[in-house]
Amino acid sequence: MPEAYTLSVSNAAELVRSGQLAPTDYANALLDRIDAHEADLQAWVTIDREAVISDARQREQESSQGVMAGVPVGLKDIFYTAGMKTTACSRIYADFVPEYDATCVTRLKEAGAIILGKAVTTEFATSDPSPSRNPWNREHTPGGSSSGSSVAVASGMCPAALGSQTGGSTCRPAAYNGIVGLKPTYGRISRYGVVPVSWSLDTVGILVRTVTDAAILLQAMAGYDANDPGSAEEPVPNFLDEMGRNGGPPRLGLLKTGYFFDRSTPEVRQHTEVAADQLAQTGAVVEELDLPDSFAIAPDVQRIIMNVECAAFHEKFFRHRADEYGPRLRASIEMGLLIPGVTYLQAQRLRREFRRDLTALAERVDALVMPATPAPAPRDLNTTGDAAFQAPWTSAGLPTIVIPSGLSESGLPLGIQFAASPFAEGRLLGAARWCEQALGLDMRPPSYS
Amino acid sequence: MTDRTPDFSFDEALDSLTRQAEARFGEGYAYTHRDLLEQAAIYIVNVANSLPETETEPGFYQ
Repeated sequence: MPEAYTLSVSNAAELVRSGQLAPTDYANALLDRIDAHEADLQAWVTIDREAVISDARQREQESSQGVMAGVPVGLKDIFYTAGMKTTACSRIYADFVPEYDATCVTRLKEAGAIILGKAVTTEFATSDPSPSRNPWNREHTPGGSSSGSSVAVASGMCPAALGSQTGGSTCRPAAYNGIVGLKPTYGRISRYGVVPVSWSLDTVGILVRTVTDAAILLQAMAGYDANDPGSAEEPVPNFLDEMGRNGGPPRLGLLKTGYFFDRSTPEVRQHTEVAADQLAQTGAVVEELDLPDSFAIAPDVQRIIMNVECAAFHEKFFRHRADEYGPRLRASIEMGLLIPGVTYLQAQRLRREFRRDLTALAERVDALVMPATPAPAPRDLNTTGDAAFQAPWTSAGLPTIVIPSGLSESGLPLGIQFAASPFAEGRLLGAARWCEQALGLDMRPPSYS
Repeated sequence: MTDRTPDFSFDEALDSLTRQAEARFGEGYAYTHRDLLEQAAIYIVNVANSLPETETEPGFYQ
């Protein structure tokens, strides 16, 4: 049997269901790996070893085993966990212990998952860097805000972790750490019991090492929740079946002109073109598409909405405890308090326009494709990097996925990002899995392999 | 009907933000946070210069 830390969710759950892998042995192996590397990587806030082993024993005694049978999962420390601190890595929530689990956490448990622990986030899932380190090179940022979740998955501490995305907080760190990051359609997964950044943008994200694993976690968590006003009543398909039905060579729309390529380094531009050529030579139909004019305002709209809604959530704490906030979050809140109400509403109206136009563009192909980030992870621990390639999609609410596509000259991961029309995750996952197989990469950070 | 006429200039937006910031956060804030206020003014003007079609309602929960 392969080393436990190398197992995917899919492989591990299959081994558990067939009785070849005991959940306690698997959990212990991952806990040992955390013990070995946590000092280097600083991915975790809270690990309750006894609770993990107790849950694993319980899983061993259950006859009905779900899609996540016996698989340990990390949670960004903004997801409510009953009886376990949820600090958002902030001084404001430092002692907060929720009385209930977030809906998505409940659904993961119902699918057989074991909660391994709470992973480091940037403060309140915003922009002040966390102490987590990139396992590919500790001098480079791991990105954020789902920094601990991404680092834990990339370094083999767990096969899957939850993140969230308001700007680029799932797909950017996925790219920087050489793993798969899925941001589903806005409303696909409930945010009930998730500390908010911005209600009309926040989306639960999935961090894993394969596209199939992303489909499994999405299956476990997707679906309407009356407790979340943004939750969609859209039917939930069988994503693995849909991925299979869309498993042939995809039709891809390469966004080569304008925004994405203009902002990329020459290395990233060349890398994306080479990857697109490779996909075309393997059978994908790749056509170049242009972004709609309405896209130009999308990044500004995302910042306005995020800052204003973030300020609305924090206003009460901020009035008396402003000094307890990190400098970047503090600046976001202050800007949000100053943006006129009319500007916020105009931004929400503009958002509707570019969402409509991007949906029409995405419906022309199985997936739009572009570089995942303008450059590999910066050699700077005082930043979480550039979210410019994620924020417009988050603002539009369209689903996106990042897969690793190779290494930069400096030995850091590069990724490509796919986007699809709303609630077309099955098509998106099918295209991404086909590309993942066509690229044929097995990327693991050398120091943690 | 479509009316995409911009409402005000960068300087007007910055002046307005400066007055609000001084009132809310105290005198001196605008001087020490000039970059933040300029960025906010850019957002406001960019949005004002890209006004949606008159019939478009906000998105919120999409």
